[in-house]
Amino acid sequence: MTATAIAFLIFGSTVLYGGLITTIIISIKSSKK
Amino acid sequence: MEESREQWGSKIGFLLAAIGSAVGLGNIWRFPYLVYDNGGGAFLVPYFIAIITAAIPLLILEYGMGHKYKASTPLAFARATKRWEWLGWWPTINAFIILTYYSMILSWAIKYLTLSFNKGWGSDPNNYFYNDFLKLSSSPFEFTAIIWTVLIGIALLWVVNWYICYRGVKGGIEKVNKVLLPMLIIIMIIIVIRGVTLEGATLGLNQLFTPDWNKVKDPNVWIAAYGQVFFSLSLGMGIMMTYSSYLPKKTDINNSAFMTGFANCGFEFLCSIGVFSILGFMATSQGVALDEVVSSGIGLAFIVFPKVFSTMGLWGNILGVLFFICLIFAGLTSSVSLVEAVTAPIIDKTGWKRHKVVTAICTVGFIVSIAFATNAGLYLLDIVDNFINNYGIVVVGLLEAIVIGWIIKPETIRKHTNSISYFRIGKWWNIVIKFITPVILAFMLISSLINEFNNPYGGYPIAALCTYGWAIIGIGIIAALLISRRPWKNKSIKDNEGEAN
Repeated sequence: MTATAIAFLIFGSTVLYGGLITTIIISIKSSKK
Repeated sequence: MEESREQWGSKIGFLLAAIGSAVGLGNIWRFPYLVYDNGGGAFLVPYFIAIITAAIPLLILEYGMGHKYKASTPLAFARATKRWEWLGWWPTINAFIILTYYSMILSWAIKYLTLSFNKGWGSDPNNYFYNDFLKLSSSPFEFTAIIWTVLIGIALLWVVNWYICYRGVKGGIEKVNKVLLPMLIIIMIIIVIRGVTLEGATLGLNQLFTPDWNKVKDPNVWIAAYGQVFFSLSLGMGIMMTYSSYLPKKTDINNSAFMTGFANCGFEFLCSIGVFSILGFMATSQGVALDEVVSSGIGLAFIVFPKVFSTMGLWGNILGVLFFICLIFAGLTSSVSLVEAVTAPIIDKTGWKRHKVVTAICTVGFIVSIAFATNAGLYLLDIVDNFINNYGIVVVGLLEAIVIGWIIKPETIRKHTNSISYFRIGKWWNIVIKFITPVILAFMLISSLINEFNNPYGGYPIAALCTYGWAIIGIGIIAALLISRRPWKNKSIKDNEGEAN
């Protein structure tokens, strides 16, 4: 794969899966409260 | 005696059901092509902006409405502002119409799942699909035969829908989603892993992710991004309001909306990697450019992919089986949510028992679906789907944003969701609901209308577009207005009213 394509693949994955993981962590934290 | 409102067994059950509803066929066969056709990696910029400025705010809105008023869509609108009750019935009717043809597509997927074991579509999947399987007639008005295989599949789907919804929110919908959604994700991951290890996969992925920044300057690309997140998240169909009405009093609405949005979009991103890896393999093995094999929708699932699977040996059988299982699972979790979006308003309105309502909906739905099991069914599906999506759902979304933004006031919903959520949303959300969402949806609607009048959809005769398209929209609105004039007969909703307000 080209470096540009890899960069955008990582960009997309970071935003979407990073966002999802963050919300899951928040959900766990809030349920413990 | 009326029953009290059902509830989800757990928050994770609600989330899986909401994600299951959002994750549908469009995630698998629409999104990958959309990225490729609208600037590749550069499309991710408008897409992410659309998620943050429209998808998640609208999810918060629908979850907030359903939860605050403890009601299905029509009852939520009736409780907020009686005059706009019909705006809750219109998406209910749209959901019923979508169900009638959704079952037809799932019926095709069941047939193709059975064919995958021996690649029964033969050497020419195109000819097989249109002529041997669907026996497609030459015009949308030529109903000369019933396709029995399709009809049997449709009947099976309705029985499955009936069984799941008959068992209720916790015992049926939640349980099914807890099994099907994780399985769907695991199967898709297997497809992606096999896809990216195929020879030529990088060709597909390079073309998918290499950005074309010129496209980002095109307003149509932004419309496509907002349209995708809107349709993909089952917004404007009454599903999310209904689902959130079954949540307990103390639930983190804001975070649930973010989680649903990211999970749905993350899944379609994963699908795009799998689909384009396989298309890259196909282009490489045939020695042609990628744009010669790229496709979306029905063409991708029932013609292009069978062609690819035919060239693969044993892996073709395995990937074929996995792919069609994915389509069936994704479709089933969505179709169940559509049945529930129709069931809940009728229970709220009449006070009838769930068993009676679900049985009636599934029986009538099956009878209407027979029209799609004919040799003109594909034309019908194509026209009805275009009008329901571009006019039915978009107009509902637009009116929903206007009514809540300017009449009910978004502050009412924002206060409610903030009072029960771990993190609060700011006043920016009010601006999104009042201004940004209506403007974007109005832009989408106007652009569809201009296109429609300049080039009537799909080159179909005007008579067919009026009969199966405009008439369906008109009937939906009239029926919604008439139903909204009927009184609410369910006594238990009065008990919930105080709680809701």
